[in-house]
Amino acid sequence: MATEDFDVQEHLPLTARLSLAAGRDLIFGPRWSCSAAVVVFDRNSGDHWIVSLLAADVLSSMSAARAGSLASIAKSVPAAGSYYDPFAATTMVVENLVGYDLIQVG
Amino acid sequence: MNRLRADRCVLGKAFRAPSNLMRLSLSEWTTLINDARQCNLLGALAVAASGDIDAFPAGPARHLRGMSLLSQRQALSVRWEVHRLHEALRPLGQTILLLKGAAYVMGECMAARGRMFGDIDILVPRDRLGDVESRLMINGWVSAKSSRYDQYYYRKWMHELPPMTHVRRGTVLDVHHNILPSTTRRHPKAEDMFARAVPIAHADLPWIRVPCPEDMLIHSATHLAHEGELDSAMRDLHDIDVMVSEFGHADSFWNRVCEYSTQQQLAGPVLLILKLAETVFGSNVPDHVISALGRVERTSVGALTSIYLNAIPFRLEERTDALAVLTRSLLYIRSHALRMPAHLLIPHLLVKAFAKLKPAATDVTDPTDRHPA
Amino acid sequence: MRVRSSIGEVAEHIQRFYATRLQSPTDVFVDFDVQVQPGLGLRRTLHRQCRFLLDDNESFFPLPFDQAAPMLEWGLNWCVASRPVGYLVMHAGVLAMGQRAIVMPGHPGAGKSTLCAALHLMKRWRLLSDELTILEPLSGTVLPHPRPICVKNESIDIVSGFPGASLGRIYRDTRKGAIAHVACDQDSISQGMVPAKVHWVVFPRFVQGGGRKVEEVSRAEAFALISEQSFNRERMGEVGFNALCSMLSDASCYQITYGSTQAALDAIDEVVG
Repeated sequence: MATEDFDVQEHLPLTARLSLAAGRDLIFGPRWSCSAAVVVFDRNSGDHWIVSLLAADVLSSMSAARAGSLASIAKSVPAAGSYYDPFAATTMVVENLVGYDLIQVG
Repeated sequence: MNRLRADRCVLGKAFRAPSNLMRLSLSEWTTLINDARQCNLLGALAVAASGDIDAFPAGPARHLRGMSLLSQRQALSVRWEVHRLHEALRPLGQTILLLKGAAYVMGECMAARGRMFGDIDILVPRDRLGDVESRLMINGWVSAKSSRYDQYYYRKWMHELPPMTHVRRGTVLDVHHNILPSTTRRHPKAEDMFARAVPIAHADLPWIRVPCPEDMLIHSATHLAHEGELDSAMRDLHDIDVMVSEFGHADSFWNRVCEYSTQQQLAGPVLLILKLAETVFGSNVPDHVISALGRVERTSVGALTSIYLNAIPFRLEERTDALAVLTRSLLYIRSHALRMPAHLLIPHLLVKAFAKLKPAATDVTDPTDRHPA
Repeated sequence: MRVRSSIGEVAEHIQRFYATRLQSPTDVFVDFDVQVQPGLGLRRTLHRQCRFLLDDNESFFPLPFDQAAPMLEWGLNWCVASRPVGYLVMHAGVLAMGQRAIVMPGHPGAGKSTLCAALHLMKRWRLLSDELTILEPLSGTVLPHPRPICVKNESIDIVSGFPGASLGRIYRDTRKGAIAHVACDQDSISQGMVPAKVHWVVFPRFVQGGGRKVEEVSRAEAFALISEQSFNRERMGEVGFNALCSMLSDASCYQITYGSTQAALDAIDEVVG
C-alpha cells in the first residue's frame, strides 16, 4: 500500500537493525484503561514521553531484547495487530522514536 | 592550634565517627545538616551514616534521604550526558578521558556515592581541541563565556576551553587539554594520564576512559592545592578521604602515587592535601608515604597546612571570620600566582574586577523558577 | 521553620496568621531557617527593599520594603519546592474531606486560589495547601502544610465576601498585581499532621461568562498536565515518576469549566459525588 506521503524509498527498510538508543533505561507507566497513551520514563536522562500504545509496545519489546529488525518487531508487538497495515504503522512509529533519540538504527 | 580547630569541626567529626550521630540533640542536628549542606557534603553524610538513618529523628532523616536520592538522580544524569558525549565525539576515533565527578560515576568509584554533580569535565589532547569543539557544537553544545576577554583568557592561558552549555539540556561541559593552566610552573603531562587511563565497564562506550586510581587522587589533590576558591575544599578533601579508603589498602597503590607525583613534580601539593585530609577526616595515609613525599618536596608544607586549616570554611559562621577571610584572600592570590606569572596576573585580576557582574539571582514570585538546593 | 526578621510588618503577619503555631522550644530540628531583612547599603534609606534568605544565603532579587510579608510567603513556597527531602512537590492546591483529597493543579489564571478559598470557607474542606501539593512516595499520601491562601486582584473582593473570611492587608503593585492573604481555619492547622489520599485530580478552568462543565480527563493526559506543574519531578527521577503514576492510578481525573464561584462549587460537588 503506497500513498502520497508514504514513499517507500524514504522510509526505513524492513530489514533495518534497530536497538534502544545507547544510554536509555526505560520504565513504563501503567496501562490505564481510560487512556490510549502510555507514559514512558528514562531513568538516566529523567526525560519522559507520552506515547501511543503501539510505540509503548515497540519500546517495551526493544528494552527487553537487545536488537531486532524492523520486520520482526512489527510482527511481534501486540498493538501492531490492530492496524490495517502493521508494517507501515510500525515503521512510522519507529521513525518517530528515532527522532526522539529513543531508538537507534544500525 | 590546627588540630584544635579541626577537632572543633563538627562536620569532620561526624564523618570520622558516624556512630556518635545517634547522640545528637535536635538543635545539634539542625546545625550539622546545615553545615553539611553548605559544604556540599550532605549527600556524603547520608552515605557515611546510611546504616543508621532509620534510627535518626524524622527531621534530619528526611534531609539525608532527600539528598541521597538527588545524588543518585544526578549520577544517572551524568551517565546520560556521557552517552550523548560519546555519541557526539565517536566519529573522531579519539579517546576521551573523564575527570572528577564524571570519572567517579562512570568508573563506579565510591567517591560518586552521595556526591552532587555539576559540570562534566573531560580531557582531550591539545591538538584535537578544534575537532572536539566542532563536533560538540554540531551536537548542540555552545560556548558559554560571552565576553571577548574571557574567550581570549581561556583559549590563551587556561588548560581548558570556555565552558560549553548544551542548548536543550542546559548541562555544562568543560573540555580540558591539560590538568593545570599552561602558565603554571609545574606542568603535569596529560599524555601520561592518557597512557595510564583505564576503560569503563560499559560495552557501548568504547572511547571513554577514566584515570587510574593513582591519577584520580593526584589530580584531585593538585586541583585543590591550586584552587583559589575554597568553598568546595571540604568536599574535595572528603573525595580524597574516600579514595584513600577505597584504594589505599594496597602498598602498590601508594608506591605508584609517590612515583607519579614525583615524576610530575607534584609531591608538594599531594603531600599538603593528604595531610589536610588526615587532619580533617582522619584519612588513613601510611606514615611512610608522608615521609617519602616529604623527602621529595623540600619546602616545608607545615606552614601551608596551617594556612589552609585556618582558611577552609568548616561552617557557616567561619566564612566571615576575619582571619579566615584574610587567609582566603592570600590563598586566592597565591593560587593565581601559581597559575599565572606575575606580570600577567595583575591585569587579569583588574579586568575581572571591573567586569564583575552581580551574582545570578531569581525571582521569588515565580514558583516555576528552579534552583538547586 | 525558623523565621527571623527585623521588619515589623513581618512580625505582624506572623502574629496574624501563625499565632497558634508559634513555639520557643529549646530543642527542635529546623527544616528551613529563613530571614526577611531590610535591604543593604544605600538602599537602606533611598528605595527601601527587603531580602529573603534561606540558611543565610540570598538567592532572590530584593522586593520593595512594603512587600516584606508577601516575600516571606513566596520565599517559603520556594523553600518547600526546591529543597530535596524526598517528596514530590507539585504546583497544585490540595484540600481534603476527612482523608480524601482533591488536588487542583494550577495554571496561571485558572482561578485555583479562589476555588481553594471557596472550598475551604464555604464547603468546609480542610486546607492542606493552596499552592504546593507534597506527595510522599513511600506512603502515596499528601502531606499538609496549611498556610495562608494567597489571593490576587479580583479574587480579593470575591473571597472577602465568603463566610468567615479573614483577610490580611492588601498589597498593591506587586509582580502579581494586588494580593492579600486569607487565613485558614484552626481545624486545618490542628490536623496539620494528618495526611490524605488523593481521590480526585481536578483541572479548573475559569471562563468569564461561561457555563458549568465537567469532563473526565484520561490519566495519561493528566500526567502530562501535572508534569508541567511539578517543580522537582525531574530531580526525583524514577521515584517521582512512580509516585505520580500511582497517585493517578488511584484517583479520578477531571477538567471543570465554570464562570462563577457557585458554578465551580457545583462542579466539584458533581465530581466528588
